[in-house]
Amino acid sequence: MDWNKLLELTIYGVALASIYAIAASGLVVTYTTSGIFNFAHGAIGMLMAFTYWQVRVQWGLPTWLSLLIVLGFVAPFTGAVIERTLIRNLRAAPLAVTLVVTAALMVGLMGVATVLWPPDQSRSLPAFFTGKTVSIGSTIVTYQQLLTIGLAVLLAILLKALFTWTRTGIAMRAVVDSRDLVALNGGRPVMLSTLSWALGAMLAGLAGILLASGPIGIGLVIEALTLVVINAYAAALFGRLRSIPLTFVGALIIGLAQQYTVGYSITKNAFFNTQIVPVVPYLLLFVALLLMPEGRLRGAQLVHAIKIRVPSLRTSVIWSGVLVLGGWVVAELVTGTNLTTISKGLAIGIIMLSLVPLTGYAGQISLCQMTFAGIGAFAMSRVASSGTTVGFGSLGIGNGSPLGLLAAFVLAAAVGALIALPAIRLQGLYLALATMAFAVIMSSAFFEGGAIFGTGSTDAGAVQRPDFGMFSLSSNGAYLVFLSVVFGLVAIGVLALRRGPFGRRLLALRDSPAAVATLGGSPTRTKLLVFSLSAGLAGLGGALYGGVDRNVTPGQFSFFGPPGSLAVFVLAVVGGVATVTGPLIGGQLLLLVPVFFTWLGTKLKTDLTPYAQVLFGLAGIGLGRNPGGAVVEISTRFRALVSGRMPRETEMEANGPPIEALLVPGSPLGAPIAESQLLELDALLDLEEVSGLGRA
Amino acid sequence: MAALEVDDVAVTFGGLAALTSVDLVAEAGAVTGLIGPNGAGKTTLFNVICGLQRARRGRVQLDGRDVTGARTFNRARLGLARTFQRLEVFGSLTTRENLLVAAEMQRNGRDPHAVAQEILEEVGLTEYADAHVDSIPTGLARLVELGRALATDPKVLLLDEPSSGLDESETTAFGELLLRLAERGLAVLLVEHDVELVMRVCSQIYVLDFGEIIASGPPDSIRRSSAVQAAYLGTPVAAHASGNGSAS
Repeated sequence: MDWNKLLELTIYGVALASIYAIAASGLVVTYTTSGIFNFAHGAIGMLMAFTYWQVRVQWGLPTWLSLLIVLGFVAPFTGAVIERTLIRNLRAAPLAVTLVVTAALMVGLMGVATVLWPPDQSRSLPAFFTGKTVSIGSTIVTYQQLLTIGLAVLLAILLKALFTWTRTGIAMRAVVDSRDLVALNGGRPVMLSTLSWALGAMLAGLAGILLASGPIGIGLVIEALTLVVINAYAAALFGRLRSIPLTFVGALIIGLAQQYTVGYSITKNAFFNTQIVPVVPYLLLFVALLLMPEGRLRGAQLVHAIKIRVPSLRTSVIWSGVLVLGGWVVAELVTGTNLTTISKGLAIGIIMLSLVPLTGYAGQISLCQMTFAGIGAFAMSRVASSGTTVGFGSLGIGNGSPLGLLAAFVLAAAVGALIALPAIRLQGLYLALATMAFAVIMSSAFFEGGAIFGTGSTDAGAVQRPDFGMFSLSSNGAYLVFLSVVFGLVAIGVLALRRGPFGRRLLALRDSPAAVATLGGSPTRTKLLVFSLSAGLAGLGGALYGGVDRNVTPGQFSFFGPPGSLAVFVLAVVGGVATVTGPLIGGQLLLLVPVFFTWLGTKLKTDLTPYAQVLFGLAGIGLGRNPGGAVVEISTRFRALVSGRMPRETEMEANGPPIEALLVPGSPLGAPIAESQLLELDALLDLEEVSGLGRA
Repeated sequence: MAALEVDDVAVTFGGLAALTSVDLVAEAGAVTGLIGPNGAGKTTLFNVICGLQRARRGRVQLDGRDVTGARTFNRARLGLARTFQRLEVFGSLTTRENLLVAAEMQRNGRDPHAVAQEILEEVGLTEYADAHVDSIPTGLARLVELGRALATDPKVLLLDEPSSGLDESETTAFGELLLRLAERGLAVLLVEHDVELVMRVCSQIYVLDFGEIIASGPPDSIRRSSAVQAAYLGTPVAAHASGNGSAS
């Protein structure tokens, strides 16, 4: 046993863990007070590291002053502004919307960083206490490592003290349980929330700066910095997003596991070293989630339910016909890469349709739809081709056999069920994070493994177009028309599902899992079914997506893409995930916007791609204001325009008495406050002796 | 054999005893009342009976079958249904759809649409059949919950403050509905703050206070019980300090 190596790896691991702990505790602080998981936490850390570079290196200010400016002013201010402008409006929004808004914020901030600090110039941050080291035995420890570990320990103590002994800290913890009660007790939940986001951004910033300048060697790279902080999410999950001490334990496990797996090539297996080791934090994230205790069945929540008119079978068939006609016209008019881009957008639209039953109806979130799409493409490539010998080889049923599409659906649905089995009991956010971990793990361990879609050779990534014999799909135009037909059919199916028993059950499940269970339905079984169905549809979409270029690459099915699972989810929700038109628009947005910006960029002779990123960010952020998505917003306004009335009024009239329409059942405001409720409130506020009604 | 039998159930939240050794029986064909001040543990007891809350101790039996460890939906399939004090309607569905969801989960071969229509008429919600439930008044939403519970064709029905939000004439009609349900052979367990309604429809009443059954019996004996009067109307402060202060 090489003790020196062990010691060295341990010190590196603890230093890395310290950074994770700092970042993760920032996440915990914001989550506990606002109840909103900040996907953009990593991006904030990245942005602060760049700001620090600007101040420290570009402007040449002294280290202490730069730190003071960034961590004492810029970071808290950024956090507070984000809370004031975005987060505050999200309190009653569905989980999908809060995830999309913060994920979009992440993408937007990455775009902003790219605009401000173009990646073509290389930047670096000096280490703290350059060159100063101490030796422990023959192991050399840098001052920066000691500083990092010391800071983490200090922060752990300070945060624990804040949440245990100070009035503000205790109030912060109380806010997440009941904002209203904190307010009734004289607390100021709004102020506390702002404060926690300021603190959270500061901690993210500190982690970002330490990572960018530290011994870890991330450097100032936008994507890498943002992503490494995401490793910290796993640590926060060990603390169930609440406990600071457990978060630190989690960080330690992840930091050490990462360093040990990197340091000791546990096996001589190259695949393990290159494909598994990098995703160790995500494996741990997945494990941490599976170890979560089963929560009690959730009851109804105060969420603005958006009522969406469900088209009849007749209407959906007519509109699908219109879509196919539109597809045909486009196929006649457009040529070249523009045609294939539109086709890909339509295929992505089919993948987004898979989110309609899952997210739009059942309110469950999946951040791994492109993983299922990839599995579908894989099934198609192996079943419906005759040649490939790479990896698992080919079944050789025949070029373009439509059986490939069936195989794509079945295999993706099966994998979906398999992954859902352990994960489906998780609720809301935790399920979303589990699917994210799954997407990242699959991307590295499956798709990029070489056996699936090759590593550069186009042979393994070849995906056939289905061949129906009588009409050939070999021309790109014909394939677009075919995709329109499939989109239309899937849309008709999804809407028929909504009008039937299963669709009702899904909405019921979203509104109140507890009530579904008391009526004799198994929430887990229903969730499993819809998750599997959704995975199958994504698989079908993936097989068709692969057919557009007749070739796929591993990166397309990763979490970040492009197109990637995250963007697919974000744009489906932005388009309107409870409608079937939303995915149609979302798919086109995802593919066409970057093409448009590239085209405009070449015209203007500047690189506009980062602005496309910023635009994506803004689109997602805009969802905070119109949680139903673009389609719902536009159709409501359009109907208002046609009828010459404000949208709110038409809505009210259709739905019954105006006063009650403003009140949400289940909330204390759902009815005139009854005496019993007053008593309950008194009991909660410890006022029995004053009321004199309930208890003596 | 009683339709519902609760033996020696205890629940603690942290260090706080929410229920300490509760025994209760609800017979088929009768409305059984469960009353008590707020915080007495009535809703917690309901949650234990339907499996949303795990008990630290004790047994729950439906028709003589021990369901203590059973999952919520399995208890429902054995004929247990309930409503919630804090509404748990499916707000984005219409009244009819709420009933349909419940009816469609049953495997009794009946046409869900017919069941839904029948119940709409029975609880008097035909007028609101196609309104989204989160836009109808709370009192009516409670009726939707009742209708939804009935659509599962239950043997035991737990009602948690069903009449709050109803006006006087609606409450009277509601009381008659409860008696009709009991006549059909249902065991109804009713948690209610409207003591007059309870006295009118219940044949047996349990009084829960500080997690304990302090009295039980037919309405008349409950009306006369001094322990009940103390719990409800209060006793002089000195007596309270030495008497009922087992938990706070």
